[in-house]
Order: sequence, then C-alpha cells, then structure tokens
Amino acid sequence: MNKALKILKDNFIYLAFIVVGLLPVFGLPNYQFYIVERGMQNALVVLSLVILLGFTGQLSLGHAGLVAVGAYFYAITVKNYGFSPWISLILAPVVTGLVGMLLAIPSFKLRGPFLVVNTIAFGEIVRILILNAVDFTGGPFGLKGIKPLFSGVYLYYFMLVVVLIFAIVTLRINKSHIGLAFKAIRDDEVAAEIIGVDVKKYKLLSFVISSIFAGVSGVFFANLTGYLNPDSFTFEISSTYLLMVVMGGMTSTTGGFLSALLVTALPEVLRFLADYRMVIYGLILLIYIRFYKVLDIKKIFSKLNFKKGSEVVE
Amino acid sequence: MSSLLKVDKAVKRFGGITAVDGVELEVKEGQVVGLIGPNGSGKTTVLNVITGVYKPEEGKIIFNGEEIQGMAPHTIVEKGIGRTFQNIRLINSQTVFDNVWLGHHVNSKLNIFDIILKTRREKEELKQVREEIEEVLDFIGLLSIKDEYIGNIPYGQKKILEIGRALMAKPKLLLLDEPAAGLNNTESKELVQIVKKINQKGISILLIEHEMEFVQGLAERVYVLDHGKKIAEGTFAECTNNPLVIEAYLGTGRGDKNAEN
Repeated sequence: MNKALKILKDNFIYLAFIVVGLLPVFGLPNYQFYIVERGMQNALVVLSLVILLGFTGQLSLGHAGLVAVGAYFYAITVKNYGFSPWISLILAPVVTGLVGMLLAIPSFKLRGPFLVVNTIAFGEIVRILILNAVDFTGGPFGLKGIKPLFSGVYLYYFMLVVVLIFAIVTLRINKSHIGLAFKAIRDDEVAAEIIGVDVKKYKLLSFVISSIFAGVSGVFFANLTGYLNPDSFTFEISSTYLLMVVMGGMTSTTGGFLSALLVTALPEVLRFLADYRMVIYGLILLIYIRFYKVLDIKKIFSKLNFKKGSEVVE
Repeated sequence: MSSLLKVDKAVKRFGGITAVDGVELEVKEGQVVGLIGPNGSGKTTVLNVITGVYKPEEGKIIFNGEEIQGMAPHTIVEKGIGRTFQNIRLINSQTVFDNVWLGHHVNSKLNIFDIILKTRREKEELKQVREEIEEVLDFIGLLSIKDEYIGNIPYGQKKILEIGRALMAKPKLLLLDEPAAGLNNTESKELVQIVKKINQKGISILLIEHEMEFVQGLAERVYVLDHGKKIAEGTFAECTNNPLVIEAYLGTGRGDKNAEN
C-alpha cells in the first residue's frame, strides 16, 4: 500500500500527462479543445517560472515579454523571411535565451522588489517595441496568417510531448546539484557564494533556461492562434503566469502543470456567469489561496500512509 | 613545513573605522592555528578578507604561493579554502544530505547537459558523490540523520554539519569561525575530537574562538588581535602570559588569575 502510493506520487506527472493526452479521444468541441491547448502552452511558461522563481527565487513579472520574443521571432522569420517553421522552432528559443541573458545581468546587483520592477520594465519595453516597429511586427494591427508546424490534433500531441520533455528536464534539474545551487541562492545568496556556488553563473543559467522555456511557449502561442498582437503580451498576462506558478506550489512541476491548465480554463468555464464572471473567478482564487494547504497532496498522502513500525510499537 | 596561507599586512576599512589594520598571519601546512581576541577586534573580518567576502584595501593574501586577494569567494573555495560561519548558514529548506552535497559543488564536473540527458558521467559521479557524502557524514557522526530537514536538527549538530559541508569541497585549509560558540561541554569535547581528526587528515585549520579552553587544546600557534591589530603571537601559553594580551583580552583586573589557570 505504502509502496504503491509512493510509486503513484513519484509518477504523478506521467499520470497527469496521460489524462491530458486522452482528452482528444473524448472529442472535445473545438473551442474547449483550444482552451486546453492554451493551457499546455501556459504550462511551459509556468515550468519556466518554477525554475526561475521556485528554485532560484528570482521573481520575474516580465515573462510575457519573453513569450512575445519567441512568438514574434517565429512569426516574422516564417512569414516575412520564409524560414521553415521547424528551423524557427529551434532558433526562437535560442534568441529568447540570449534575451534572457540580458535580463539576467541586472539580477546580479538587484534583489527583491528592485528586480521585479526591472522585469516589469523589460516586459513593457518589449511590448512597446512590438507596438511601434510596425514594419516588422505589424504594430497594433498584428501579424496574420502564420504558418503552423502541424495542424489540428497533431499539434496538440506535439505540444504534449514537448511539455512532457520540459517537465522531465525541470524534474531532473530539481534533483541535481544545479537545482541545489539554485535553491541555495534562493535561501541565502551570500552563503551560497561563500561555500563555492558561482552565484552569477547560476543566476544566468536559471534565467537562460527559463527564457528558453518561455520562447518555446511563444512559438506554440503563434502556432495556436495564427495571429499575433501586442495585447496578448501585457503585464496582466505576466501576473497571470505568476498566479499559476504560485497556485501550483512554486517548486512543484506537476502542480505547475495542473494549475496552468486549471487557471487557463477557469475564466472560460465561468463564462455562463456573464458579468459576474471575473468576480467569481477572483473569489475562487482567493478561496484556493486561503485553503490550498488543505489540498496539499503530500499531506494527504502522508495521512493515508500506514504508521511506521516504531510508531506501532509505541 | 611550508607556508600554506600568509596574510601580509592586510588592511580593511569600513568608512572611518579600520577593522583590520596591517594584520600579519601565517598558517603552515598541517598546522592548527588559533586566532583570538576580544569582541570587535576584527577576527571575523580577517576571515572575510581571506575568503574573499571583503577585498582588502592594502596588503596581500597568499595561499599556496598564489595571491588570492580580490578573487570572488567561490573561486577561493575552488583554490582550497573552506569555511564555516559564526551564525549557522545552512540551507534550511533542504535535508542534511543535500546540505553536505552542496559542499561538493566546486568539485563537480557535470554541466547542465549531463543533468538533462542523464549521461553515464552523471550516474558515475552521483554514485561516487553519494558514497563521499555518506563517508563525511559518518566521519562527523551525523549519518543517522542524513534525511532530516535542517529545521528539525539541534543547534550543535548544525554547527558540526557546517564543518561536514566545508569538508566536501576537499579544502587544504579549513577556517572555523567560532565553532564552539553555543555548544555545551560534551558537544564541545566531541568537536575537539572532530577537529583533531580533520587535522590528522592533513588539512590545516585556522580557528577563531572565544572559548579559551577550546583553543588551548588544539592550536599549536595563536595570534591575538585587538582593535584590528595583531598584538601577540606564539604558543597559547606565551600569548596568555603576554601583558598586552592580558590587558586587552582578559582585562587588567582579572588577568593574573586567568593566566595562572
């Protein structure tokens, strides 16, 4: 019993992916299916924030900007320069990674709220650049007719596989000495440096990995919508990502994945409430944040567990 | 015995205060050296200057024949200087095992791709590191609590754990910043044994300590600081009999009594 629970807990992420992978079999209507796809795309950004915020403790409220860089890079190279979508898929995360490197540099000196303001500024700069570089990005009119990698359900499965790979990468980083270095930086930056962790290097690494994830998410966004517009990359979107990662438990890969799907779907599920939709949405989030510890999977598991041998003797 | 660490006329100022004023200090290979002095005499600042937390304004720090002043702290750890903290600085969200693992960080040859792809190199290193960690935990006597979280273990064990973490980096020189502070008598005696064992492995030790008994039992050579200046050096007995030390460190009134002990 105990062992079965442990196996279930360790492999919960695969279970979640299998369930999500079976969704098309049930034949969801187009719009609902699109929401699930958007949830998957958001899950990538959440994984990116799990690494950056959950592990390394660097709060970014500019991730919509990184997603925008990935999405626009894909769209512009494919549409205006005739790149193969597959080449752009590979190049977009590389470019976002480089941008993320620039974003990392202020984090060497800035901490806490100062870094947050910096990342907000980054997100806004990217959005305003897109808005004004009309020749490249179409500005406020957006970019239409972006060629996707696949069509229909194939894109869904491709995304599922990519998100699963990235989730496994996140899990592996979590259990490695690099993950440990990230957490040391999160908990005590000065001590981390003095016991031998190259703080700058690991902050840079964390930002780059995080940006790569966000860049891939951007490519998927362009694929899903086929249309890009600067309004899709506002500060509000960045804060929704933050909400998702906090609801997922900050450091949990599985939790982040599930909460991305739920938070993406929630406003749509509540659409029948019409005018009261966002009020109820906010209320549900508040209730969740207040009571999420009750839902702590770890605790539920430990309550289900049988007592250890020593406790039985007592 | 050749010189391992040499602090050559190091000066560190904070605004108008000279915290370290031309301190000279030497640790030879295999030696246990004590650094004592009253509160605020600049002992920890000397340590911070050696480990790269502060850059000295003047003077040199020579480790293993190489000038290390101004290097980043993590580079200095790589060169072979390990340290512990006066106020415990362990990673509280992690287990005992993970905290010791973090000490191995500087010796790790793995890069991010090894970890993402789970290469053979990664598996081999992990296996070896796991053995090393267990060896170190066994050495400091904490193997039985390796899966405990830091928040659940007592103060004394945390202090010893910090030494374990420093040992994982395979240092040539270990700097201990008040290791016995806050420990009870038994723990303190255990610690003396551990420090002796570490020294027998060939690791030199620079010890900052308040508790005189602790230094007396261990240090071959003692340096005394007062107001950022070195006021005496020599064996423990020589230093405690030095009138300057008695005046500065033990206080003039009670000096004679303490010296006799």
